[in-house]
Amino acid sequence: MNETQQHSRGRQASRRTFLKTSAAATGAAALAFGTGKPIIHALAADYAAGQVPDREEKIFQAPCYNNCFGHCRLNVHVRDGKVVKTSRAPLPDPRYAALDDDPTVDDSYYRICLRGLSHPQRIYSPTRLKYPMKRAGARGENKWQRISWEEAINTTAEKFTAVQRQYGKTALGIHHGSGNFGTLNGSMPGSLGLLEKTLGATNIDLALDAGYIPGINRVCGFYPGAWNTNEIADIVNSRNIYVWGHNMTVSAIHQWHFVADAMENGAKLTVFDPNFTGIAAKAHRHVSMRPGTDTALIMSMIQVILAEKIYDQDFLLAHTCAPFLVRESDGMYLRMSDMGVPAKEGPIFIYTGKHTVIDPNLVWDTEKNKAVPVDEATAPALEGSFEVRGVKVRTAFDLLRDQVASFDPETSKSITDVAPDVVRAVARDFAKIKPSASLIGMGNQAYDNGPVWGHAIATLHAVTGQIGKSGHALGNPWFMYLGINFGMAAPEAIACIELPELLETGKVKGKVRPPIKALLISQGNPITAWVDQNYWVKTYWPTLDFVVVVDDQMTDTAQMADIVLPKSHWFEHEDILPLGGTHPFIQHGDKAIEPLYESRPDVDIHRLLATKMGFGESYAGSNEDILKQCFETPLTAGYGLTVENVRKYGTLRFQNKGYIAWNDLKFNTQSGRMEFYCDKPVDQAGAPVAPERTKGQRLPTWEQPREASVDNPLFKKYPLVLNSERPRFRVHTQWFNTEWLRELDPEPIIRLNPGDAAKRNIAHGDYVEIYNDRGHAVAKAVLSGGVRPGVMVYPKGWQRYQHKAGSFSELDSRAFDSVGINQSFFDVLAEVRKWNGQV
Amino acid sequence: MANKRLGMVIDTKRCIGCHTCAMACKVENNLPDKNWWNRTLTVGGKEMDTPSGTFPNASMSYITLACQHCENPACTKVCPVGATYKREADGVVMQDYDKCIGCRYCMVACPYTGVRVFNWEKPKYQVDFAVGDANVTPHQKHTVEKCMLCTHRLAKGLQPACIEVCTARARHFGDFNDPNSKVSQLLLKRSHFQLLPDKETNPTVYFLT
Repeated sequence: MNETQQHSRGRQASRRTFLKTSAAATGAAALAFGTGKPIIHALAADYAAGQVPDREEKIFQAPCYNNCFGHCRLNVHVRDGKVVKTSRAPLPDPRYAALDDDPTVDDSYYRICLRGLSHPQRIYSPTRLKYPMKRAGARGENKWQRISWEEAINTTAEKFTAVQRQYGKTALGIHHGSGNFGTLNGSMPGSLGLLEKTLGATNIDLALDAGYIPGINRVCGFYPGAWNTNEIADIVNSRNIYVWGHNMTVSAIHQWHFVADAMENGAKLTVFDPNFTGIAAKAHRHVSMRPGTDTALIMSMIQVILAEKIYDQDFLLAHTCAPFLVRESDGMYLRMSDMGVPAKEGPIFIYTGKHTVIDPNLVWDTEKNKAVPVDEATAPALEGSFEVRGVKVRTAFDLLRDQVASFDPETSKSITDVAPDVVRAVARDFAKIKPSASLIGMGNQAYDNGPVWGHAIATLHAVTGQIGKSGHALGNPWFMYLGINFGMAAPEAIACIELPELLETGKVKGKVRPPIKALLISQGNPITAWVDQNYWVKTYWPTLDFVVVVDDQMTDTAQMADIVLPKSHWFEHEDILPLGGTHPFIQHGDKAIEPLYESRPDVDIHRLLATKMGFGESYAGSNEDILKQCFETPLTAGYGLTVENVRKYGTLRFQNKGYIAWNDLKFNTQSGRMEFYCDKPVDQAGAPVAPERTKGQRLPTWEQPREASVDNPLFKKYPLVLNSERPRFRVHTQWFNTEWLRELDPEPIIRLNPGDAAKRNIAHGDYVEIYNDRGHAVAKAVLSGGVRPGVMVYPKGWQRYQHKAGSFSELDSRAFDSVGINQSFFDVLAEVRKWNGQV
Repeated sequence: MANKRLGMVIDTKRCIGCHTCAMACKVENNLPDKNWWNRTLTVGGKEMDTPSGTFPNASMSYITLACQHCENPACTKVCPVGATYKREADGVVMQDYDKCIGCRYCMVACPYTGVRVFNWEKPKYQVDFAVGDANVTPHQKHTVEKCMLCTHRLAKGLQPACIEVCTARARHFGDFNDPNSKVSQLLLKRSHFQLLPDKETNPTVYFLT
């Protein structure tokens, strides 16, 4: 394995690593995704739950392929060759199968939402891109000339080839957003990955919403894609649910009914969010902290739990690093190799392809009164300082206690603004009520200090032993997948937020590489989805020789293209959705209608382009061949998952019902325990953390957010923290101009606390300008007692033209943390004033 | 066979105001642009999704509002042509576009503001063909329209379109004259209210609290 390459790839790297070893993993697949084979559910081809087809009506089935994580299965009703409506289709668990109000049937995952219902309007949108076009004005001027597919592909091939010849193969960047996770026509390493691989292009990685993955996985061990947690349907068994930075009743609406069921079963719901959100309105308790201070709050909770000795001592001793001895001199664990017993090679770890290392940790045995390998200890010490062969050591538990010692609730209040009695109450409840669970959204990680937050929340679960059983979720499940072939991927990847460094220094992470001079963008709208829009529009884009955007609407990014190519809608081609998002099913998607106008499926566009560039052999096979090539891996084979099976059955569950993560309490760390003390921390991409950052990454460590902090001198000029919400009316920027949704949600708004508004003479309904040194946006003011004083909240996902002026993406900072390698969407200070009408 | 009394029970503890029921209604019934028979209202501040109260002492909930299919409807009494009428067999309050003369007395008489819409112009649509169910009666200029509990779906043995789509599992449909129905049972078990009880319309839509 090429380490340098692997480490340059951001989050993608881990997934690719996963793939390379999946051949070895077949037999071990059950380890990853539950025990036993998936139960293949035979779905009668003509059965559509709750639906009676009308005369002349045909019902197809396909998933919503987008990135709300819902991945609902939809019936697609076709009349006279047109999609006339969608309805909720079965996404069954085979052990039960049913409809509303029938107790014998489980409809846990039968679902649809307002966006999924509006597909007819999206498909037949008057603004849909109908044919290939080339730019007829300056970039961004939105003047276009219709061209033929032949001209579009010829020009693109010519330009891409010229860039690759002049600057090197990897000067061609391929960026995908999260707009479609299909194998042939989406952003997963399917056909698009095959194209990247074929052309030798660079994958420009998203670098978003991944901030706390390294933190959680530092404690629990590496897990591909995201983290390992209980199936969401299991949350009904929890008695105490903490929801962190996760406004699920707006942003992930299909999660809520499980929590509602839990509450009807008697669970207590506590919502941690700076703002009084929709789910806070449902909660028994809302804890509002200063934005970006959640890590300090959790450290304070851990301080209470340790000080009051309400931790789970048996769990700490048996399943965590708590008794492990740590050398005072360098902070490294004391292992058997330090005692002259060389480390041995263990079996291959399926997710990395590397041999595990067997080098047992030492603990202090209070009966033998000496240090012994952890497995030989009969009475391991939880705390204490010891000397082993002249080396001074302490237990990891002691170090954690020292680390949180200064975070007693009275002291932490100055950071978090949470009352000490509230901190004690939430800490005690979490320690004492079993099973407790944490459901986690994207709010906490949207600051620079996101990875540490993940580390802290996992540590909270470790000290309370709240993991490995029913009702013990650690994190919302998302990005659950099985059928992804990570072999279909670019030879190199860089995170989008590393592009400025490349442009300015010619290097990424200190390594010289070719510049990015041409871009192919699909499934995404980076101009609006990424932070610091003005940088990309004014500084970065002019350095690109050629940009092609594949989309079905004229997005902000499409407007910045040289050529736009119209893609078919999800129901206009066949595909396989190889992941479940928040549910454990792989789905087949029918082609319900022919592609409209001159639009084409992505895979056909890839074939045209590769062929024209002289690499047609990669796409010489049929789409069926490519689907098999991309979907069928040794891992899927281990589950009996083939294209044929997925097509035959429609939906396939890849986790057993009621899946419980870590139920054997064997974690993926080197010791197999939860390691809240991490002597060798790694970053998002799996590379060792730089030495100067190591100390702050070994234990949960409070750091101020980079920008959105009261201690930042900029706070005097821009005293409001700008948060965003992912509204139910869009998914990122998708559905931005679906008129049925715009009737409900017509224009950009900004939610302001009435007190903050009054200080600035802003009235409800005023158009206001939100601004900082990076840019501005104009939106309608909505005064809301739900907004914490000092905070502003905007629903995200509008195109530039939908604002009176500017765009919210202009305000975000592109500074990022080198451990998280993640865009910090909430780590933003701004001010607001009445709009003076100037654009 | 005894007449049915069809209606809904909506659980405000579960409802999250997501508008999915409203959208299902919109598409299923091929509603013209800007017409909504079922709407999601925030109980709290004056704008959608804003609470009442001052941070941190805020509170917020939602109700969804459509025709209440009253036991004692105000609308049917004022309609001069019998265009709005109550079906004896199941209690659904209907609106017959062919009979409607557009006088809008029903809109004035109904105490539940906004559950009816009037087509001042020829209905316009975002897409140029009829979406939704094939059996929906075409919309007409100068007529009043409103929720009819998806009678075209009831005829096929299905529930109204807004029920099964509910993301919060908050909506239930059934016969209040059947003591064993889910809706009757829910009213026995849970505290509930009807909208504007002082109007003595006796809606067949109940909200659980």
